[in-house]
Amino acid sequence: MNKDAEMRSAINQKLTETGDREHLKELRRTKLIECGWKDQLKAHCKKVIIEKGLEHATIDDLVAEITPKGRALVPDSVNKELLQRIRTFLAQHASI
Amino acid sequence: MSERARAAQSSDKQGRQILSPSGLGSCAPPDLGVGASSCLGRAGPGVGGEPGAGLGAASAAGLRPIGASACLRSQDPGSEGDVSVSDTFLDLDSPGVAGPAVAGGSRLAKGKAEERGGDDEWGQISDWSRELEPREQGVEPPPVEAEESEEAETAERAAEAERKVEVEVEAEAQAAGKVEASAKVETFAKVDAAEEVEAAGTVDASTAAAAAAAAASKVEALEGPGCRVELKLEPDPEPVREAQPEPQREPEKPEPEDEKPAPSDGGGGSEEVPLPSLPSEPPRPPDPSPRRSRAPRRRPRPRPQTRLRTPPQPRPRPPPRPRPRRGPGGGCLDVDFTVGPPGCSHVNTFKVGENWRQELRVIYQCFVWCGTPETRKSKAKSCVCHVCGTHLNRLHSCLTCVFFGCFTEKHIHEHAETKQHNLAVDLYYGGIYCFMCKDYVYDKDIEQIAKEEQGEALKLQASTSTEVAHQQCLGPGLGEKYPTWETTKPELELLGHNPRRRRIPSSFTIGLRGLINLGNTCFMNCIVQALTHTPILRDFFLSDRHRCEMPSPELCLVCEMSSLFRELYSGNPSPHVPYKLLHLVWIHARHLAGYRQQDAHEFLIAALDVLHRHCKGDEASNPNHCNCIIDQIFTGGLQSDVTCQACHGVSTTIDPCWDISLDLPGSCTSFWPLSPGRESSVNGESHLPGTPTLTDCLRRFTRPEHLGSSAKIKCGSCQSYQESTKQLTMKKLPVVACFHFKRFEHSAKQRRKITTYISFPLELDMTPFMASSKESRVNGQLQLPASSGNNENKYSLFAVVNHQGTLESGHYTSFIRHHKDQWFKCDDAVITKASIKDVLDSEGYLLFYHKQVLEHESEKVKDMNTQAY
Repeated sequence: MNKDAEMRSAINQKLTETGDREHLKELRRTKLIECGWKDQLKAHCKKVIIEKGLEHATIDDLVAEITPKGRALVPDSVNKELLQRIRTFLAQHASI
Repeated sequence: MSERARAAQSSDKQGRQILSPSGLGSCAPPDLGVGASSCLGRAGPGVGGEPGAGLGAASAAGLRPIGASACLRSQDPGSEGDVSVSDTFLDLDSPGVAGPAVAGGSRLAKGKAEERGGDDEWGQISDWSRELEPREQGVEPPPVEAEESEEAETAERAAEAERKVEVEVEAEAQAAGKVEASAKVETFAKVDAAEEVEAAGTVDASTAAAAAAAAASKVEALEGPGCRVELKLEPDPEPVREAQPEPQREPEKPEPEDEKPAPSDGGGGSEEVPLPSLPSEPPRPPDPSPRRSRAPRRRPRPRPQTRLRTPPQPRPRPPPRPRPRRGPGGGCLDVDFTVGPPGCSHVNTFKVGENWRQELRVIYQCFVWCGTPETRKSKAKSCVCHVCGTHLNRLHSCLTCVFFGCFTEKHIHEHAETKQHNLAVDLYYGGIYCFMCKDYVYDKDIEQIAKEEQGEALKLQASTSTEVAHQQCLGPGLGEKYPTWETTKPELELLGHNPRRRRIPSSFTIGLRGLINLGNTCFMNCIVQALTHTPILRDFFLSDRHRCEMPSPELCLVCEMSSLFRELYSGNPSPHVPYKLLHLVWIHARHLAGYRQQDAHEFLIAALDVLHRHCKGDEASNPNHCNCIIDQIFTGGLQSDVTCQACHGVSTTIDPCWDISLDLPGSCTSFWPLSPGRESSVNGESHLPGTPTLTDCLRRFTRPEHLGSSAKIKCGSCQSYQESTKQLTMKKLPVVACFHFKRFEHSAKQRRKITTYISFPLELDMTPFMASSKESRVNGQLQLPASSGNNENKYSLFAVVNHQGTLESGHYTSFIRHHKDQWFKCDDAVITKASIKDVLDSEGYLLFYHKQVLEHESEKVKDMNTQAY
């Protein structure tokens, strides 16, 4: 694993251990619901499923179709805020 | 209590109706999801209190809740819009969607039902919920009890035990296909006891538990052999109230096996140990080593199978009797369906042995939803892909051995193939993936366990979390479910101190209250009636969302509005005297002061302006970035395009507007290119052809207008003075659209009132008047956009303000819509029922329309809009 991945893994470990990862996940979930991202994506999911047919759509199909759109639709403010929180976290746990 | 039992009995005769109200929740705020959601978000506990997922259940079943609502949030246009939103989004959800919430809400609803003694309202609802029950009941009870058993609070323990047992009893009764009348009565009696006890504010644990035990034992005696035996155990732990979370492993009795005819646990399998098998240590073993012990116990590898019911051969147990499938279809299950039952045969082969549940729980606790610091540590350390080391990429854990592999890079797939371990669990969401079926499988038992574990972990998180925000974020993982409302101690006390329960039938008049005329103040009364019946505004104020930022709150008009709402919705039938409101209006809008007759539209604009200013405190707030409730609801964007005739360059500005003022035919400024009446069926305005309609007025409003040679504008692109055309369209539609007919003409020639009757519709589609539809106009002929099935621009009428009289002197009255399709005429202090025909035949001066479907306003769009201002 290269340095970058090591660093990421270390940060993730710390986040998980302290339980902050879950907090951040919840925060992110709430924000995405509030800003309508979830509903947008849900509508897109439905479209994909209808296109593929209910019997033939699998999770993998959905994931493939939805991931890029989902990533693009996340509002900047949500990203910024979460990033800010991660930075704060890192500042507090400077030992990483 | 006896009369309650009698009452309960009478309701019992109507069948299983008592369970039904559980399904009918109000339209949950989360469904609203509008940009205003930051304000409206979740209603405070004061409003109803029914969790909203009930509607999800109804929608999932393709049914609509009928009429009666159990709380103030009635089914009027705004809520109707909510229903359609949730309907759209919940179509594809599994029926299990509303599980815990429905069960949780059931207790409150049951209490209400008891109090009413089996009302007709609930009789209506029972019809549709009866269809839901066989499916739903099987899913609900255990999460309730599992979550409940964790409570350390004695008060809640007993109450929850009641609910647990009674819900369980219901489930078992139905699963067995018997509805024992006496069992029901016992149940109801128990529920009554619980309700009363709660209402009294004190929960006597011993009596409650004793009652529960008595009832449960009775029930158990009545239940036949096909039923679960663990029943009698539930109440027992209650009197022995330790902090020990005891029967949390206990309530994992198998679901009614209706839909899984395959060889899972039958009626008396070895898993159903009637004794609580309590671990004496804390329930969360931090050490994942128990998993290793599973490896040697692996049974022979299952053969790849199709989804037939044939049990695989090496099973030690005799194959169970084939069970007829219960459910709405009835009869026996057709073997050859392609849509399999929940779970698959491979999962079923996993679910053998005594300990698979325990082991699965351990997996969930350690790797998916970690509640304790120890499990978190272990997760942090060990949950990485064994091949590539990443913790991302949809990490899965093999269910058979200790292997973590990521999904995206197919590392877990490789493992599954080489080792023939067919099942893996997603460490993010907890879903089980079957490599043979190549899809996620949703096995009821496993989902059950997963739900419980997740709930546990979240509770642990919440209890250790310091941030208040996280207490509220009980977010789900496997599918979207709404958390149950579980009473906290302060809430129980509150309920105890306020034992009076209010019943709200469909003919309720809460919200209808006259306003005394303080001297030509009918203009104000009408606007107040219209505003207080604006659904989204009503929701805002009744959930107490206003935080006063004025330097002196006595002068805050928003606070006064808030108390006005409280007054009008108090249920007090006598007319209200709005003297304080009048006084504040005089102070803040000097031009309206005095007892002269005023114009209602002027008052509306002034009121909105003052409210808007006061929402943000009194300092001059930035008009471009105001996010107050008034702006969220009333502000629309009016786009004005000026097209240079020479170079066809378009200069666009967007102005915020709170209303749309429309010219009328017959005025000196009128210009009617289209013969009125034609195409007015677009909005269903059914009146005699030749009658001008609102749509006509709007069409005229949005038509391109030549500005004439006397009004040449300097064009920015060709830098010369040219003739131009100007066109107004709606760029951004407000949630509440207010249309104002310019009936009062103050021209040089004359001052008069134009009394031309304009026909207006109940439902209005604003799509043709949007800026985006502009391009489809050719020579003034409107080409309707292809997709007018879009609901986003559809509005419903909810208030009409009328003026009778002349320019100098007259009287204002209003029609307001109450509870979806009941209309009432408000003439100052006198409120009378009106028909829709009355409303539509009235002259119309101010029309208030509410959007039917509230959509989100994503951040990006918001930024765009505010920039344009």
